[in-house]
Amino acid sequence: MKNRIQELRKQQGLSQSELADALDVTRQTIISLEGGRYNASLKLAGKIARYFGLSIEDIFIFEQEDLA
Amino acid sequence: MKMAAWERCNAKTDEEFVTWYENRNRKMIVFPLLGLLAFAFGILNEIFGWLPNDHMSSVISGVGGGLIGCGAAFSLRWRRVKRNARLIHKMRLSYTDERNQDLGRRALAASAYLTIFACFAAMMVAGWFSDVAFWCFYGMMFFVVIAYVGCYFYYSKKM
Repeated sequence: MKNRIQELRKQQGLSQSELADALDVTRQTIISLEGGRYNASLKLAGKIARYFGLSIEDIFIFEQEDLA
Repeated sequence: MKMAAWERCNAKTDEEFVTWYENRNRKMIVFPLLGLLAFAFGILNEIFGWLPNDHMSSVISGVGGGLIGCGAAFSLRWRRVKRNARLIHKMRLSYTDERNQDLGRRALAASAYLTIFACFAAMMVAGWFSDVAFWCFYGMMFFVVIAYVGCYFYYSKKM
């Protein structure tokens, strides 16, 4: 699953550490999420969406094989 | 908040985490106490020779010493962490971060699989040399499998 976390974070001029602090996760989690190596839980996805003021679908891009 | 040692920490603030960690530490005191008993038993066995084989004194007192040492190390670490708000925050994140928790679950699941295979291999080798060792590994292997089935049904009822 792809996501726009890195793009949105850079748009807001945030560092990975600042975003991690705001979401109450470790910086390593942000790195893994941005690198696409880890998929956020629904709870964390909701927190990320609320933080950026967007919906989950605006941030996490479901591809056809993710929904198959 | 869940309190069992193997349950996830869900503390939302550093204060909640301090309470959770200290409550957990109070339950964990049983391990250094068991260590103290084991250490004392090992020393007394060395003097009175209750067990038939000599090396068990060293093994038992060694395990006891290890438990006491771990308890002391955890206690000293917590004393250091508790004085520093930044370290408390860092430690809470390491316990509550969902990726860390996921890593822990996956590592535990993989190590359980490896334990079954290692027990099977050890059982096959031990069978050539010792009946006791063979049945110990046989029992261990089936214990892991039965524990898995039991836990599977327990959690299937919970979700």
